[in-house]
Amino acid sequence: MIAYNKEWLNNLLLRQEVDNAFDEQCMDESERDTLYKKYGVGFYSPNVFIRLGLFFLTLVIMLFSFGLMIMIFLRDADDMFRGILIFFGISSFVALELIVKRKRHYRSGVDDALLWGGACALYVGICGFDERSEVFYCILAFLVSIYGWLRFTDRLMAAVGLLSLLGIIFYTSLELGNIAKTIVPFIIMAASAGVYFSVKKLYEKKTAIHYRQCLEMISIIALISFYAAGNYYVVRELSITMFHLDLQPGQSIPFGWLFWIFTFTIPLLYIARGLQKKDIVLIRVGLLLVAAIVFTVRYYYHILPVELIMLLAGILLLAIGYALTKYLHEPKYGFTFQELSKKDAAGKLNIESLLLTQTFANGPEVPDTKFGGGSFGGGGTSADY
Amino acid sequence: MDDILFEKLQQEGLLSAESLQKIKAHRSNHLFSLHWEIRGLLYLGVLLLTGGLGILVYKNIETISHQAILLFIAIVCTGSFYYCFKRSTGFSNEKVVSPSPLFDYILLLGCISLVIFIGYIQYQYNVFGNRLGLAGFIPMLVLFASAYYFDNLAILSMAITNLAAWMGITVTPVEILKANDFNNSTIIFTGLLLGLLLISAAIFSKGRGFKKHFEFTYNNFGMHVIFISCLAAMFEFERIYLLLFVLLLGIAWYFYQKALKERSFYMILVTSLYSYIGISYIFLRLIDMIGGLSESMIYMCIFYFIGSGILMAMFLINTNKKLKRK
Repeated sequence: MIAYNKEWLNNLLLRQEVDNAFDEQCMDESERDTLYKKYGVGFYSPNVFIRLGLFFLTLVIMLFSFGLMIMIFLRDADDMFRGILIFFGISSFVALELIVKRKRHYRSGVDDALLWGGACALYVGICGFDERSEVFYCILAFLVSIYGWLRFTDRLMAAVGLLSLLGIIFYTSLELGNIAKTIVPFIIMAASAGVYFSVKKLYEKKTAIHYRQCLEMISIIALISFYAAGNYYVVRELSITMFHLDLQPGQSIPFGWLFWIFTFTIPLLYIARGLQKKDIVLIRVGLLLVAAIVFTVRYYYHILPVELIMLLAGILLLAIGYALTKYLHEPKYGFTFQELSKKDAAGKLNIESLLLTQTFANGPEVPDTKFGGGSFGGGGTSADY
Repeated sequence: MDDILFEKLQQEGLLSAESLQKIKAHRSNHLFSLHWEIRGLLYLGVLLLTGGLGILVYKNIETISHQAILLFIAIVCTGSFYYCFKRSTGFSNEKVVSPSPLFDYILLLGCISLVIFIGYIQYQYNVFGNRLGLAGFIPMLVLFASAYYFDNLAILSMAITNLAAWMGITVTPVEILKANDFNNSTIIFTGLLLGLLLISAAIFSKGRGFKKHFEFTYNNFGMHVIFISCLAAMFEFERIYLLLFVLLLGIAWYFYQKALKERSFYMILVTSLYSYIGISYIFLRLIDMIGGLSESMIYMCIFYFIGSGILMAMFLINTNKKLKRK
């Protein structure tokens, strides 16, 4: 099912394990080198920056090839345009197969661009420009992304696949009548939970070993969609726009209390479970969703002005961070503050410093242009980096 | 994957028994690192705290409480710097390893609160008079001093951004007085100057062995600033665009050689993409000169982009090979 050479994929995984072991100083260099020689990988996978460049250039080439096709074939009718799009999408997929099989490209930027460009062209070509039902759009997106996911183990395709699946469930429930409409949040939650647990099971299976990165991506999306479906803000605002629920400001939705409980408890449960299971995905998603709690509460209840909340939250976070660094200075219960992998530490710091500049460049400036404005000033410049 | 894999490798004679033992031991007491999560918490903490303070000060400018807020900022600032001076090992020409990640964030807190403080007293009391340059200059100086004294790349990046802002502002008021078409060119010249300055700083850091590891940051900012300014100049000054194109190629050549020497894939990518934009611009100018928007010209453009795209991709692939082989 996978287009790439299976043996090389296996060897790639093995090399990763070997790299980890070498990184942890569990084996010496000569051992690593013999293993590398024994388990060769013939893929063409350039450095990540070159991949980025090749991705961009392939898109440019594709775009202008499409332009060329339009120039040659499009003479009068609009129907031709859809035909050309579909033809272009299929040609991209053929080119993708060739480049993977013959040129042995794997995550080279060229294959990514062909996959995504081809998928988009095919999708738009089939959809056309007439109004169709949402379920149709979702089913089509699901089919296209499933192909990209299963054949090319693309993580983003996997994410699109899950989102379109949830879309299918959502829009079909809407058409089933009023009862389905009211329980739609619970249906989505159940679907997300089902996906999450089956993905967790699949992750351990040997047959799914090449899909692990995709499965991780799917589990992240499933965790987020599970929360989103139970979040008070999402449910309330969607009920108003989608179901034309006529609510006065301050008036709550049916089962409002239940959604408030979900809003508060789910992120904390994620973090607690993540710490218990030592599952980094759960912890990170949980931490991210804590921000969603604050946002949701803040949206409906203006307890304090926003700057005071920022101030207090900042102090609280610094205090927690400070306490944790002190507490985990020596490992406790298998947790540590120590950075275990020293790989790329310098690179990470360079990226971090750019991130800091990006976010702080605008922060402390005076609100009017008296200080720090100028078209070449402050935030404007940093945005380029 | 698990121990079974390594056991198999050992049976094949590819792994020594000693190494297998080490791997097993390492896995059985595997620690779980929360390093980047806690760093994230600290980062968000500083972001929210300083952001909140920044808004708070200006919202309460007319009330009595603003003095209290000012005092609070001063306390945060002195507290942070006190901690940093106490924990720091002092200045050195070389790289100084930060005492702890916590230290970095407290330094960040101190620096940002100091910038807020200076900005505020300028806004309210006009301490530095109407010479706005000075109000921007002092925070920049403080940031550079902190970056060098405490050896912090993040603060250095902030200092460089402030430098750019400062050069931007001191130019802007002058620019308003001049004719409108001069408007952009002032900024372009400033950009070229700033780029040159930063690249020189990079060369100086490395050449003189004065904070060698700051070279990447200087060079990175300098590279983007000078490329963007040079491209902007090409679009802006119609008469000498060919001359500027030569300048662009010269800059690209400099960075290409540098990238090859340092085996930097990143620099190769940035250099090729900026040069590609420049070359394509020249081509489009040429097309415009010959024939404008006729059908054959459109075909020419399409073929140019397909062909040049393929050539560029081949160039990147070859360079990738070259860098890997070394």
